Amino acid sequence: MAKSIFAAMLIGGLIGYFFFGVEDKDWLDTTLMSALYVMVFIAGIEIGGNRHLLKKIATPRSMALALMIPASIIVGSLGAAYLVAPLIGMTRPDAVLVASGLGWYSLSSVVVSTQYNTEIGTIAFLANMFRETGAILILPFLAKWNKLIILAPAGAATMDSGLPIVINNSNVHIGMFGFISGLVITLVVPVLLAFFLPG
Amino acid sequence: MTEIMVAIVLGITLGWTDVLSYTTKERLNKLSMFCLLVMLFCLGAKIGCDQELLNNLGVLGKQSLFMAMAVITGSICMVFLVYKIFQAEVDDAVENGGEHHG
Repeated sequence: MAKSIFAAMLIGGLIGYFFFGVEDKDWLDTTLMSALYVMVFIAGIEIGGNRHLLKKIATPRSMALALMIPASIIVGSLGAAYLVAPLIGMTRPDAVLVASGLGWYSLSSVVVSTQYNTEIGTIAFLANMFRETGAILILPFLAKWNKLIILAPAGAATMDSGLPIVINNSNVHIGMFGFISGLVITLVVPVLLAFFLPG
Repeated sequence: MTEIMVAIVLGITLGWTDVLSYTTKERLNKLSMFCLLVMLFCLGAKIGCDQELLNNLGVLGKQSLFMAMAVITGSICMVFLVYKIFQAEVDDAVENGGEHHG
């Protein structure tokens, strides 16, 4: 799986470089989003088809776990950004602002570039895009070590593009935790961005 | 965001009704894998066709790459901590985590 994931991106990158221009971005976006909706729809079928798991996840301890996962991803991401900021030549507030995107590159880059600074906005785009694509690439390898940590890398994207890969590399139950985690993170990202935007 | 929610809710509803056969679910899984490859191809192509983005990759790419690596590592460490606290639940979820037609 990891090989096909890597190959699809690489071939896409090369074909994009040699044969496509910026004007092709619109239809690429439409195709990308259509494929994403189909994937999420199919992941939903898998979740709905396992009714007993939906009941199992509704216990207090299971719900606590479901909320602890996104909370730990947020703390881990912002904490890491705060720590490495001086090493990569960024100020700590800028680094934490970039990390607040939590993998949602389209939103974070637009908000940061328009409300603050284009350069940091570009870093927000790249860092969060690297986060999502890197997560998809390393997920199959991480799954061999521990099935829960595979929910961490993609951040917000665990509820959409990462979800089918999570389910494929673990099971539907872990996938449900992944969906809840991605959903909570997605709801929190706009709040974090607003909070960490200077001024 | 709304479309994603609609797609997953429709999927959960269809899955809940239990009208799909095992073969259909297997076929849907292959379709999902195909869609994933299409999505990654488009993602790659979107980066490859954007000269401005590629130029920026050289300048700001290193910073962004290190940042991505750091946040991924940080979040993995924290989730591993959560795993240690909820090990019994997680191991049960991994063992009895429901059928997957892959």
